[in-house]
Amino acid sequence: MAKKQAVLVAQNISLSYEIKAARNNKTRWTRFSSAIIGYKKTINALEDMSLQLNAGEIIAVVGDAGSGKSSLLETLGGAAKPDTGEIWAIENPVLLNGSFSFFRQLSGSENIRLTLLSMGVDKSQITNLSRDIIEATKIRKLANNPISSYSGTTKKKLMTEVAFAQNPKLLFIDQRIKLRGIQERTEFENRIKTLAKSGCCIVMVGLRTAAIDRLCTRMIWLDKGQIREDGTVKRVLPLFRNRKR
Amino acid sequence: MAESVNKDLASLGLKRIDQPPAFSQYLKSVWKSREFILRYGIAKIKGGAAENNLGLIWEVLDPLLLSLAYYFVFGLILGTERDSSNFPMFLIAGVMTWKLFQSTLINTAKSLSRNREQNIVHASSIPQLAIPIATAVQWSIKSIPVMLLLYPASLLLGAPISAKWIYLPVVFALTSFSAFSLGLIFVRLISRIPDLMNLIQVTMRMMFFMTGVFFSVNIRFESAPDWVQTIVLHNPSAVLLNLCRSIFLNDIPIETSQIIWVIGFSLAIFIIGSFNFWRDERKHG
Repeated sequence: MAKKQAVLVAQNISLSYEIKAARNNKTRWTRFSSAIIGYKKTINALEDMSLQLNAGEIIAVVGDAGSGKSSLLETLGGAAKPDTGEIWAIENPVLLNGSFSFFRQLSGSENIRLTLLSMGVDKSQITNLSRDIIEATKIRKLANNPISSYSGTTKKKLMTEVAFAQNPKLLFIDQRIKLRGIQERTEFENRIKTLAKSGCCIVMVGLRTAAIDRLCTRMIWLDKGQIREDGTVKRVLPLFRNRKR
Repeated sequence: MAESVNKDLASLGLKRIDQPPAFSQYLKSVWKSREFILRYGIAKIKGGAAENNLGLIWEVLDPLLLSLAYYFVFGLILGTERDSSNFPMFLIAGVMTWKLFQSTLINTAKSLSRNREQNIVHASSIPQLAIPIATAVQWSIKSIPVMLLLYPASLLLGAPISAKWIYLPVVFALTSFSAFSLGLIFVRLISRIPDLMNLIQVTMRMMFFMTGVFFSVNIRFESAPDWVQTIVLHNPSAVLLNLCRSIFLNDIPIETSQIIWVIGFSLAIFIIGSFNFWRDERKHG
């Protein structure tokens, strides 16, 4: 196997943040006061974590709820600034989370343009990229209709194609992309595999274990903001499956 | 961190991505996203217009109806009509400018508090400052027809055509810049202390009464204590309203020092606001 080429290196990163939470202790008075003025609680989402991501890897990040999966993606993706540590990367990662909302009243092509601009794509490339995306999603006839008239499947396809269009070197996919049906799933997975072959490193959160088995080359298991296991799917998946809950 | 390790990383073609850019770099990247800013602003206008049957016509209809209401209640019943030789023109110029000022300020202040905007900011590589700017652009563009309406209104209400008319776009730009800068101060404050959102409405209401939309601040505050007068005469929105009125009417007292004050104030607030904005970028939301 060829020498691994690093596309992202994170050294000793930690992240903590404050949330408003209900105090789960006891007296009526503390419950009352925290309901009125709120109660702040510090969450240590990531603790002194170091890792390296390499070109061509398809990585599944797993862990129980609150183990720091989303925080890790946000921090590596540049949406949150770590409290300590350094992150080095070949380019700013593209973050694909299903929550990126289109403008419902605008047409497909207008939405594509706007989304590409928001990702920092240069104006000169936009016309070409838009055409590629419209081809790939087969929406040429619908391109001038408002997004609100598109089917759910088409919207999802559009969203992924927009993220893939610029041939990113680092692509982070959050859990909220829900795929329905075998055909939709296979298409998506094949697309991911092609992208990885071209040298992109893809990190995914929230995959089912069956999908990890089919698709991924590496698995990172997070537990309470720390890496518990990091290795091949073959090694880590059985450990994760047999974990104590 | 060992220097040698970092050198190795750099030689692999990697660069640090966890550090926010320097302020000057940041402003440069905002300038680079101008295409996004404009298109985003226009997209929001189109989206909003599609929600009503009459679409953008409401943008004009709303302040016109409001002017009419003020005219009856304050002009005729409470007698503020005496404040100007041409009260209808005085009123309409005031209402239109206030609408631009208020809607730009409030919406800029709220621009990052909604989920959708949070998601866009998280999923994209544009600087966050682009969103408040785009919002200010959105609300300013929406007010353009309203401001243009002042020309035919002026003819209709018997204010003479004058060379000063060419200043309207300048006053317009200054008003929206001033409102944007003030809004920008609030954006980060709101995300840090959400409770402030409740105070903004009250603050805007107070500002409204100190701005003299349907009366002349110079006349009505004449007998007020000196410090109140000083505040009122330096209130940016009051100066901007008078500035707009002075384009169409000849009896509006306005001094050059007031204009310089508003420009200076807006610039200072803009610099403080954008610096503060840059400093808080990428805090975990």
